[in-house]
Amino acid sequence: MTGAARSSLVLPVGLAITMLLAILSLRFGLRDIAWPEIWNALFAFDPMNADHITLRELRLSRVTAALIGGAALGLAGALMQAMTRNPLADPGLLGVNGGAAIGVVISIWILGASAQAALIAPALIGAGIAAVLVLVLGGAAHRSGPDPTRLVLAGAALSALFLALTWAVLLMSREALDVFRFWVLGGFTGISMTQVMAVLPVYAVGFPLAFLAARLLSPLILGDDAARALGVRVWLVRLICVGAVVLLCGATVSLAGPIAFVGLLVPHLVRPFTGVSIPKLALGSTILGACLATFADLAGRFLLPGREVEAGVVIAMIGGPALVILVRRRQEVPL
Amino acid sequence: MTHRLLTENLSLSYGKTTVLDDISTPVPSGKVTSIVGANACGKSTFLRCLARLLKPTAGQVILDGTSIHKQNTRDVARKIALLPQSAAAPDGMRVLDLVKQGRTPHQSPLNQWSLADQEIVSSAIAKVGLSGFEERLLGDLSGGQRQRAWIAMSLAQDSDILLLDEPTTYLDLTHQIEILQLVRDLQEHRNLTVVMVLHDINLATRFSDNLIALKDQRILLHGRPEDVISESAIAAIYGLQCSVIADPHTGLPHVIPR
Repeated sequence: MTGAARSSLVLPVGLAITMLLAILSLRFGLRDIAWPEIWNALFAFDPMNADHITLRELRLSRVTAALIGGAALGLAGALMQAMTRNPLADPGLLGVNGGAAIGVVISIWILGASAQAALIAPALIGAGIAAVLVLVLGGAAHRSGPDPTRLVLAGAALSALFLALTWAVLLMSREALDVFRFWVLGGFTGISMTQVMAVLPVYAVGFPLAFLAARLLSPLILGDDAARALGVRVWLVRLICVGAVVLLCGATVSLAGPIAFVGLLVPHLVRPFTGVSIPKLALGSTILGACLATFADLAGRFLLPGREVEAGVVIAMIGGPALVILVRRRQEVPL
Repeated sequence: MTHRLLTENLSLSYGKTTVLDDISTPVPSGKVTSIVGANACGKSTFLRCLARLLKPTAGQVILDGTSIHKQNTRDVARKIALLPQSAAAPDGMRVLDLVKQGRTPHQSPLNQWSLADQEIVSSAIAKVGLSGFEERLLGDLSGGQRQRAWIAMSLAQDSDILLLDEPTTYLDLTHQIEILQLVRDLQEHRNLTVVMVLHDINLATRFSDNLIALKDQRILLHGRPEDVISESAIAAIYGLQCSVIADPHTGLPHVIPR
């Protein structure tokens, strides 16, 4: 099959698999729901039926969060790798996850928050503060715009600082440790539709901005000089790109905790199908990100008898070996 | 004759190091001008100033009567194309995709890819002799072919001024001649204004209408190769003792180091 045919086929196939996984996610779990009951729960809801309540209150919001969160992380990863021209770049490098974590532990420690719903706002604020700090230290205020290397260094430094602060709080507060050790795994269990709706506005800005950034980034793969000579305002493109990544990752970490590997791994899996085109890579990574997160969330329900494994753990278990195999086979298209 | 591109008291410093000092020169329109000089004499910096990649510390670059830094980035890109020295595209990129990038300054989110764009891209690829190579990956091309693809990208930009920063680096002698001959042909065919940085003084002499020799942050010599190249000039530019003989094919001056 030619490259063009492969790349035109991969999107519909990826989308179909993702949809299938999403439907299976409604069906299976600690309590399986029969197919007719799924239909009824959606279109003929009976508030007294336990199956209907499970599906409406738990499964539907959970699979929605996995779809959107996974898509956001995949897309953000594609942008990060394209922008930094670094195949190991991961959205987590911008310090957003670290900022969210410190927001979460402080809110547990000082405000006594423990419900997952109460952690969204502090995580989002922490992620936002981290993002602004990383942008400022990374040279966003500089005339030539943020420098990818400085951004990543600033992100790494701030992540280390946030981690130290997080542990300091955890040492002082046992309650914080109890909530945090669950939050830090990352996963989509127990997310309610209200929570999804709370972060939806962030996604509503983040996704369009990210696809715009993907289009604008294309000339930058020719190098900064070539891009500038083509009339591209490199600083503006980088700023839009980082802004989009921060919004997507900030919303996702607030909703589902820090989920590693999706942003790092997904673009590598997509690249053999899309070649070097950044808009295609972004679209493919969005779909595959959603697919991977939904799969991990679903698979986590079968791994241990009688209990669920968080999606973040499943993804790490898939992601580690997958990355090793990718590096060994060197099948990915070089950046 | 009026000059579309010129510099006025152009100076540029990195911190305390002055790279260009008070350079005022026209860039002759419709000619090939080569910038020559010893390593680190500011050749590339001068070219990057002309391309608006660097902002001068003092003075200005004038394009069509106005300072280049007061003009819209996109407008400048429609008038000046640059082939940077660091030109590097992913090996997995197709020739066609590289050349298409040349249309960037003519596009906007509202003004999408058109049939006219397609024709300009095809004609640019044809002009550099890469027709039939559109679907090839850059990584599968020879160095000379890759450089042709980049030149096609600059042509697709459809500007009258073409700046080339060491276009022959990493090429063997045959391909160096081939690329410079291509630049010469394109310049004559489309009446382009070409400015390039070249290391090889003999190639510069052969393929240029004008030479600008930089030395100690300033212009040492500026003129037609046959007028400016002499044994004393080469000694002054490069600090090299040499003989200058007439090239048996063209009669142009040819430098032979002693």
